[in-house]
Amino acid sequence: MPRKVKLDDIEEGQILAETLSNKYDQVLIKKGTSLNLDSHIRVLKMWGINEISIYDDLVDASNSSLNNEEIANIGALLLSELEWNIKNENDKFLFDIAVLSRIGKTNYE
Amino acid sequence: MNKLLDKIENFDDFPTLPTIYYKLVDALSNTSTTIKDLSNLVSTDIALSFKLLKIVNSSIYGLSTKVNSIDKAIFHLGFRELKNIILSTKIIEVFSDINSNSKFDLVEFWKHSIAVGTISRIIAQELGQKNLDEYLLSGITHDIGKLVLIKILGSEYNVVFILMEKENISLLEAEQKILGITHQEIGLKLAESWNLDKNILNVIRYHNDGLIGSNYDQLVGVVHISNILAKLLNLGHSGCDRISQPNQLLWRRLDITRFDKNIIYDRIETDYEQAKEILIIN
Repeated sequence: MPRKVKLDDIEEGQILAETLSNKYDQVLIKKGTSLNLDSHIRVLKMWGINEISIYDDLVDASNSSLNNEEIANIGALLLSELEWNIKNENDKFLFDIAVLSRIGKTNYE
Repeated sequence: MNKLLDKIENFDDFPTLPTIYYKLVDALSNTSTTIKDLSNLVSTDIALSFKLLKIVNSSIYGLSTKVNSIDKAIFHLGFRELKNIILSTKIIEVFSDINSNSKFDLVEFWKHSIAVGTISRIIAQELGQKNLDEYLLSGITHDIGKLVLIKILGSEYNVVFILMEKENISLLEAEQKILGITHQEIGLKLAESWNLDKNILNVIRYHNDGLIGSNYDQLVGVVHISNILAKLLNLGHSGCDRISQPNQLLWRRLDITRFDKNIIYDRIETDYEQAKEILIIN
């Protein structure tokens, strides 16, 4: 279950359980992101966000599974960070593992 | 900038590997050496003995029974793999005197290298390879040239990162421009001075290309893609943010699409955590 934490209590690798926006409704960090202590907290501080809702770990997040649209968003975000395009199934294999790590979701269907 | 070049050219203080490693290499080259001989030798180094047992008992090996003696650990590893594991632990110790700075963090560097090693080992296992710890060692050594450059130049090495960002060029191009030598080349020099196997030299020299000239080499290829995957997964930090595209020619020889993504990902998570715990000195 997601729970609220203060900024100082966030731990590396916790998964964001809500999409965070600034006062202009611009998305800062998307739901499902694995939190990074340096870069993400800097952004939160900059916009005066003091408390966020998180999943504790990957198992927690996968139990509260994200929907397909959220997974697609995470994929799109990762793609925009790359300076190259996925050209074949092998490229995509690496990319998909990275998406798995970001959504913290594994299923053995 | 000539000052940096001078420093590199005049540097003659390459770190050396501890004597226990060379004693081990001697013992291994002697055909009459027994497991007992090797185990006596390893036992003289308490820290090494502990690490060896921890590694053999970790998820990386996934053995069903607990190994509680050095003899048994060596039996499970085999002679060749023993050498690779000991090198992996000793190389990390040899560079423990390097200072981190604003652009370069030694612990993050080792986390990255260990991630590349664990991912390479997992992929090699899926590919049916036997010499798995050579893959682990390859990941750990692939970027040692960066440490040599930082050992020589200290934080002056950072000009390379700054130029790389400013001109949007690769790390290798920036090193060539400023230093006249790349971390691949100087890493190769160090590895040669240590008499490391040809396979490892190839990894150090060619891991960014993924191929040796136009030739396929499984070890080099696997380390090439594991390096990219470790960066995609944000495991540690190599000092370079850029994630390059896999060499497309490599995929003609190396096909990983038949593997199960979820299983690979889970294994990376578990093995990386354990390898990091065991190998990084705090």
